[in-house]
Amino acid sequence: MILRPAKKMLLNSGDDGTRFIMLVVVMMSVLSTLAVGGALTLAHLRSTWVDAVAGHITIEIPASDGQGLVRSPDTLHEKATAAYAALSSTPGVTRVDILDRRDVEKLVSPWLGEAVSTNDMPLPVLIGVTLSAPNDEALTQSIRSKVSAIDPPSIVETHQSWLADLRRFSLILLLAAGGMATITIACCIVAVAGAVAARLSEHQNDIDLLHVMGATDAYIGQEFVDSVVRSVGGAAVIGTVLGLIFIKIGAAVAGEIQNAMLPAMAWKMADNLWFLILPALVTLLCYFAARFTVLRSLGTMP
Amino acid sequence: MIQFEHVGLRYDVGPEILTDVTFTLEQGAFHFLSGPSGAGKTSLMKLLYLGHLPTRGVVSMFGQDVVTATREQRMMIRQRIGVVFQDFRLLPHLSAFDNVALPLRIMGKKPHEVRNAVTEILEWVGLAEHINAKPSILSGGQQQRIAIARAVIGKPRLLLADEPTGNLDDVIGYRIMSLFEQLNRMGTTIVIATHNQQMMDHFNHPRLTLDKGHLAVLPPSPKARLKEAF
Ligand SMILES: Nc1ncnc2c1ncn2[C@@H]1O[C@H](COP(=O)(O)OP(=O)(O)O)[C@@H](O)[C@H]1O
Ligand SMILES: [Mg+2]
Repeated sequence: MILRPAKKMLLNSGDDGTRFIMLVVVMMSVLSTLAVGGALTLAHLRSTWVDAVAGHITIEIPASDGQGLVRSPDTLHEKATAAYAALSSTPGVTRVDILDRRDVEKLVSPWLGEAVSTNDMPLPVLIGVTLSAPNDEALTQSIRSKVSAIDPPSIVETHQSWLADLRRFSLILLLAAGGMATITIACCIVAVAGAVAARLSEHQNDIDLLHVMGATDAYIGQEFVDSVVRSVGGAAVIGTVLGLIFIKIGAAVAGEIQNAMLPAMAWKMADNLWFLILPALVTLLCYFAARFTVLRSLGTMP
Repeated sequence: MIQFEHVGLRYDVGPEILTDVTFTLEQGAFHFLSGPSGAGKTSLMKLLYLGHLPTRGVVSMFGQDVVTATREQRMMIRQRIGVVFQDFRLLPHLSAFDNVALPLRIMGKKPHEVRNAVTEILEWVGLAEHINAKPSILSGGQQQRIAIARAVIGKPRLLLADEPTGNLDDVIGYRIMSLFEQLNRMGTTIVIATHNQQMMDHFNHPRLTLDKGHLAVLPPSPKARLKEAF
């Protein structure tokens, strides 16, 4: 049974120490809000990128035939036309684009320079294929066999390795953001436990008194835990709101800058739940930290 | 009701402050605890209110061995004991009312019960008009009366008072002693630590005397017995 003190017994209103906890929790909540905002944006961008790339296949009809012999532009053109016809009639393919010699020249010219003539240079033909559904294995397979029937040396590129890199990279960033949020919450817990321990020793004489009057640990500790939960809860909400304001400002500024390296913060509507969960989680964890500290400290009395 | 057998107490690794203390207090007994300063009176009080557990020997309170009792059982034992500390130990930020109300609130009494009982007892110790005063603005004697009111408000089975008349002038001192005797007649066991010889000569109660940590049980002072006889 937890007895609730009828009124304040030990702690003065406006007791010192609360302000320190509140400051730490506000700052840490701002940081974890930024971390969570960053993580949500990253997750959002990742799925946008993956969606954009996953439904695409690039087919390269190489300029040389496997044995090192350069093929004539006419041969390449003929192969490309055949492939175009075959792909266009394949169900599940929504779009086919051929990048022929001129298009490819345009693509490579920045690396080679305008002055270099590509006339004598063997250039491949690239065909971009857009699928109606991403990652359709059967469709990809049938495209592979069709293309290889038309031109065996052709390469069908599904961007899987690039996608795998993107997934790995964004997973690392997500883990880093999660780790940052975890560390800041851990800081809150450590600060709360430390501050509670300090307040307990500050009130040691009064606590001893209640103890010898026969008050239970829960009864004595309740007041400390209550006061911590109140200040931490308020501070966590303030910190989260501040963090969201910073994100808004940051997004507005990033939008202003041309070619901004930082993508504007953006996430799904439902993801806003995280910013309710965050302060609740901080408060809950700090409640347990305070309770544990209080009961462990009181438990050392006979 | 209260039994000490070969009890020893030391603080941490220091010397033994109490050595081989053995005595029994029956329900309704009234004893003085005397001895020179530093003899261990306050330390013995601490053992009695379970502020400290004995380093050796057996302390049995209300039929329960305090060392083997659970923490909950010790809490229940403590709730039956009222203590007037030598230094009062009032909570400085609480009013006289709230200080006196503490034991009742710890027992979980209802607010109106608390209000009635506290108001009544503050009148009884003559502090009705200081009900909302903080201890710091009250005199030593007034603080002591609050401490006494707090100790007796829960109708304890055992009342311990550590030099309770030390800060009181004679008239109030004797009035407080009469209050204790009144409680005693209603069944409360009382132990009063004092080195006030006049007090012990005036009230006819047996004496526990401590000297260098050793306890002896003596009959009431001869003068007090003489007074009682006539
Ligand atoms: N908390 C403590 N820690 C260590 N020594 C103590 C403590 N309290 C009392 N003592 C020592 O125990 C001895 C007895 O003290 P005390 O019980 O206060 O005697 P009295 O109340 O008879 O004056 C003294 O020598 C004192 O220094
Ligand atoms: Mg003393």
